[in-house]
Amino acid sequence: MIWHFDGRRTATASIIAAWALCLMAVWAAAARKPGKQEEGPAAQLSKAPRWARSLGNPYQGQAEAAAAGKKLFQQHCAECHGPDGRGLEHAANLHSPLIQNAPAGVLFWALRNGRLRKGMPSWSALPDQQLWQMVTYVKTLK
Amino acid sequence: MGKPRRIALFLLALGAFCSRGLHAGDDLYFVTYSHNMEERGNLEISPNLVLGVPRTSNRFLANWTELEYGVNGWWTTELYVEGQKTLHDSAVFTGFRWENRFRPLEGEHWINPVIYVEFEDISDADKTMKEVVGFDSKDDFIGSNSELRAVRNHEVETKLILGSNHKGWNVSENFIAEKNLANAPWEFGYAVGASRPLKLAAISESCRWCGENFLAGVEFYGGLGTWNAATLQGTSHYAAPILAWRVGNSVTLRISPAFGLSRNSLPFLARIGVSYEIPRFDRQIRRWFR
Repeated sequence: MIWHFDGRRTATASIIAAWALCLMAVWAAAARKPGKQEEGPAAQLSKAPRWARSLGNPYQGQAEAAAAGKKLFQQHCAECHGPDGRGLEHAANLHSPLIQNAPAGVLFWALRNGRLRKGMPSWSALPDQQLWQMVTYVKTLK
Repeated sequence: MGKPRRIALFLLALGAFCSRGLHAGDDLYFVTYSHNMEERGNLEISPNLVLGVPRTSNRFLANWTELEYGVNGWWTTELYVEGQKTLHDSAVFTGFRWENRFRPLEGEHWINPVIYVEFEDISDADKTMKEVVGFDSKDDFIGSNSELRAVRNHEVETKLILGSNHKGWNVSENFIAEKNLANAPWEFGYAVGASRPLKLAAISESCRWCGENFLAGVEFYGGLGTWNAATLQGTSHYAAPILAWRVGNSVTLRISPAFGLSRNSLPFLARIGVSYEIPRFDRQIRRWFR
């Protein structure tokens, strides 16, 4: 089946529309400067939805999972959070009470979603199992 | 030993001797884009090869090298430099591309959109097949390099990338719209891909051959005609299984044979790529100037 579109005008309009869409997206992303109250990791964790708070860690207390989480942490997180998790530059100190007292599900949610505007990547490309292993390790940093 | 074989062996050796782990920006696909962005400040260097086996023209080995940089969490920029060598013909530089990807939504959603804008300055001798659009076909490869390289194209390519990560699976869909800045209609194309690690949970020991380090997937890509004639017919379409091996923390090796699905497609393509990631390249640059 072939659909016919007519006219150079339509093509020109579509070019303009495509560029306008891209510019709007960039503008929207750049304009979303968070307020001061939103800047800290505390504000970020407080955004976690209710379902995330109620999630249980399937690997809770498992030493093998914590060891695997440590390996993953060194691969993915140590560059910003430091090899001991105490934080470098703007990355959070994972030994802090804020992180250690947060429900496991909230940390899982934070890993999966990231904070793109603040440079924390979304780790959703990793399987849930590996995210939970990292959460298990982070909880051992108490 | 032939040059292609030497290059392949070099890439394999490079992969085998590097030993660091995987980063978020790493993607399995050769043609399809997922919504996973490069991490802020990271630089990824990725040489890739495409071996084409046409029936009606000479075999070729095309190369593109990617330099991908995470400007910040929601903006990734990338420079491609391309060339090719055709059997019984010359080796030519075919041009460059500069692409930008923007992720407008914060956080992870069921479907995550990414907007892609690219400028291309490439000649008709380009054989990397980074995307298939319009009525791209195997006949485009007929002609000598000297003839083909004389035709330069300045194009803008836009993509709407939709990606989802769920239960270890990544599913990505790309809708491509490309416009030659000379007087030519918009050309359309598509690419879809799905992939998954062979093992979802990591083991505690450091390992190179364990299932968590291997990803398998498949991608389909092809042309959708032009603005004047949007169609699936008369264009080329490919199916390409992919296997990626995370050799270490910063090195990923990918291979993908691709099979033509329509009469206008090349019957067979083989792609191989290696990516090396330099974490927090921005920090290293800052150190040099202190």
